[in-house]
Amino acid sequence: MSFLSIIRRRLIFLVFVVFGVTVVTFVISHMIPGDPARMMAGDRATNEIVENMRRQLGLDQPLWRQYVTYIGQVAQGDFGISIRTQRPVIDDIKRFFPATIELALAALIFAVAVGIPLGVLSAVAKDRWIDQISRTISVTGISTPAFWLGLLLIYLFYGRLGILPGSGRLASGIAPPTTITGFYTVDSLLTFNWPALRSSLIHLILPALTLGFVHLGIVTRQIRSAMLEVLQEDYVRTARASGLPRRTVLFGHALRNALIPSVTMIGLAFGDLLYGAVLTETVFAWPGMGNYVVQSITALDFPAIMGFTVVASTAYVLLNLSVDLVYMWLDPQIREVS
Amino acid sequence: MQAGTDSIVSVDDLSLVFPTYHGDVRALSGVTLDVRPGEIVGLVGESGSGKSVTAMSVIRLLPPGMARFTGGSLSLLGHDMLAIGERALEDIRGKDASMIFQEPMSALNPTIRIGKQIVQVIRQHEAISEAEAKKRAAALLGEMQVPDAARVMRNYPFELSGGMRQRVLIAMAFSCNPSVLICDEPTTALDVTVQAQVLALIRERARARGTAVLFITHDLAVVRQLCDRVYVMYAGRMVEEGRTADLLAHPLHPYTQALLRSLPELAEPKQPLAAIPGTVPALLTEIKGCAFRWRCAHAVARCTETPPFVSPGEAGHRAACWFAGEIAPPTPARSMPASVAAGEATSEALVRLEGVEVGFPLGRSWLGRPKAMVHALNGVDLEIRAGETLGIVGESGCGKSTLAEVVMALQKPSAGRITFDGVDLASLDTAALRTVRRNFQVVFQDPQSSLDPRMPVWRLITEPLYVAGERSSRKLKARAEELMRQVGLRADQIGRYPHEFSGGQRQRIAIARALALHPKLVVLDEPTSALDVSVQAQVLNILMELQASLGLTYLFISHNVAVVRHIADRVAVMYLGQVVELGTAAEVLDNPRHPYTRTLIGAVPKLSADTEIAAPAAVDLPSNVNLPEGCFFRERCAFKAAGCEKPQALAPWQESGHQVRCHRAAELPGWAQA
Repeated sequence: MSFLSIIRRRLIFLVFVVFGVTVVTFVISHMIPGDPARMMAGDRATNEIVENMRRQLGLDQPLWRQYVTYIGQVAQGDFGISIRTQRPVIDDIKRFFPATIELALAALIFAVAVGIPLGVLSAVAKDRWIDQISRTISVTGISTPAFWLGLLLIYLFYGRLGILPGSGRLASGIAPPTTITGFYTVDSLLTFNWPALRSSLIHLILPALTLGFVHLGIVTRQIRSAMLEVLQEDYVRTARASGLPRRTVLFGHALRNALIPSVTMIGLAFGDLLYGAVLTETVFAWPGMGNYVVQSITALDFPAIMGFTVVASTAYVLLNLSVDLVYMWLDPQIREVS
Repeated sequence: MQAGTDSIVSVDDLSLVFPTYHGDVRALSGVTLDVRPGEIVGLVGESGSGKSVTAMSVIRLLPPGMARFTGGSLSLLGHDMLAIGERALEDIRGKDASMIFQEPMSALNPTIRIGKQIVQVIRQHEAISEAEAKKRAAALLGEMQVPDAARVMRNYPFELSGGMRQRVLIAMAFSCNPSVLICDEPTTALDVTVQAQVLALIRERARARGTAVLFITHDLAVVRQLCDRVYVMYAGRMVEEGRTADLLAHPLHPYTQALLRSLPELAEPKQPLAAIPGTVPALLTEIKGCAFRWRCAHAVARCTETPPFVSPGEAGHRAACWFAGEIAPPTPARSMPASVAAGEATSEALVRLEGVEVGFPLGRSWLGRPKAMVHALNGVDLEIRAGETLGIVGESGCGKSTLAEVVMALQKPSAGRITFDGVDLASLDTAALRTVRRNFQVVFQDPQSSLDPRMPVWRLITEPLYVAGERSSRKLKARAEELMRQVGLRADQIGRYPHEFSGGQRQRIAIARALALHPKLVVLDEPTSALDVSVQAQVLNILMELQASLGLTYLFISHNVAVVRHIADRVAVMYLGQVVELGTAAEVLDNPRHPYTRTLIGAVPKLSADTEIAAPAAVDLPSNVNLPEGCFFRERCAFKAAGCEKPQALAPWQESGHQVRCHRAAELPGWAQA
């Protein structure tokens, strides 16, 4: 099966996922006690005003018709108006979502870029000092709460040493770059806005370290054990018996195979990073989706909650798709079988 | 380092230990071996004899932390291999000396294309361009009889059969014209017809290129067919060395003699085999003197002193035994008096299969319909008679194991009927089926993995009883003791765990477990394939004894023709899910009438014959997804003629019970096999 047909198949699947997600959130949002019309109208509104509000919001319609209207709007990229912020939900998402993704990606890159070499090194030097250090790092990573690590890093690098910023996405004097992707780093790079690039990068360091540290531990561990297993394989012996140098055996033959089981885990890690971001965002005052969603939930802001849910589940499906594509790229047998 | 200056490989008095938690395991103790230019040298021994360790040591392939050399010397083309550094070793491996291994299925990197894997090795050792290396790789594949080499270069390993992968590995090993090729059981995992092809290939290519070969195997018949000289190892020592024909005809060392005697090939069918008593000594402590003396019939007090490696007669044929040349070689076992087997097979059918077909769906469309079917069994008519041993012979993928599952009512046939004691299995409900299944028990190939390592032996053996409802530990233990005695193990060891037993003992435990419920039919699925020949002899003996005393019926599945010839009353040969030939063991295996049976038996290496093994053409088994039209064997058949395009029926050949699925059975020339 080709990459293209997998992509096509998943995109069709995505339609069903969005449908399912919207049905469930829609039904739940209408079953939860609390009257959005009354909330919007305010405490002192008369019943008449509330009724008007209800009609205006379409809440007097039967549920299925409300749903059809809603899904029609979603298809056009319209998630309605947020009850809390009174702005179109889609605008809020465009503003906050990229910040979260940027943070999660940076954390993932950190975890993978450090975790994979560390895991390989650890497996090759099994039980030697470098392995001990890497195992200590991974156990520490897995068992350290992110908020605590965040506060510690802020205290150290911002409070004590004063070399890194402790909050926000940009220094206060710097204007955000022109929006292209919504990622400050990418946008400033694309618009050759060097001061913004520098500032956005150094603002990313501490939150990304905080968020990525847990996953660094997991990735290191996973790669280490996968490598240990792969190094026992017959084809590694074949490669050694053919006189291939150690470097080629390790990185050309063993690592690729060791990565196969790790890819799923890294994909799942990214999902985790999106959740985890909520906490990290709070600690670092990162203007991301986490705060927005928490506030929307407390305010029973259903258009916002549903909008977020749809976007998040779409992101999840696309993420899984990319995991599968990486998988197929790594393992030729999956290309045949799936 | 001057020992054998004309040798390519020269191992002299080499000793090596594996440091373990329990102490040093003395894997090699003073091993001496030479490989001279252009010769094919065999290295034989049972598991744990140190033959693979010796082979791996030649190119220093054992991981540095795992093994420690404690004495002796090792040189390859004049290089002192014990002193040389890792970088220099990399230059030697794959270029001066290359190696192929046992498991072709896992010996190639699954994520890299075949072509790239070969090219990588060539370019590692020679400064040539990518294009040139590719050209050479394709030429090498062609030389190794890989059909459509250009396509195979682009394939990934999983797209090739085991035989093809081994050819690829041989191509890779020959790619830089090594002076010596080290082969570690390269055909053990392959079917016999494929083994014959691969052996022929190694022999021809090595001869044509003048490459010396060090060939490690446990199979004396393979040695007989392939090697000029042979070394025999036991417990990390060299016990005998000589020209192949001499050594096998007149073995000097009692171990070599005992080993030959335990082979079913040389014994009268259905008679007890001469197993070697006892087991290989543990190598954790240093053994002074002869390591075989505890199992040796000729051992005397002097054997506690290390015997010299001497040559009593012909030069070059020597053995490490005080009595080398004094002990008579084994009497030809064929002349053993034939006694009638105690258990007598009846002609009454215990299990009858009529037109049995089994298909497995291959992938499913989104509606759940199978996209294609794997046709595992295609119309099998067979009866298993009470008290007999029915041998099933065939290569991988022929449906042997599916047949066993169907017979044991573990797999429902998609068509056809199976009756047990006259009862149609399809008519039984789940509960009744469960009761009937108690009559069928199975012994699998590998007792290492078929026994739960966390259960004590008595639990393992009586688990079937426990499942059947017996909960009293006292009764279970009593039954376990009884069963242990039946299979020749000590009853006081029922509290031990599987890892405390040797491979042969574990297989006996598996047999005891199969007997716990007093079954009528025992399916033996390659029960001795994972065992050494001396142990195989013990297990076959036990099986024959049990059959005689308990009146058991065996369905004996094996790819080993010699073993089946020895133990079976009747034999069915399977090919692509069909029985192609059926009759008594003597009829089918001594006088085969189906061209496939002839191909199969012709490919089995013979100990006695001087003829070189016939290598059938390199063809993969036809697909059992798209079955061929007419006779399934047609495309590979040397006797193909008009009429073969029609489906063939299993019909009696002449008037006997010997049935053959070939319309030309009567026309084939007589079978003359030494």
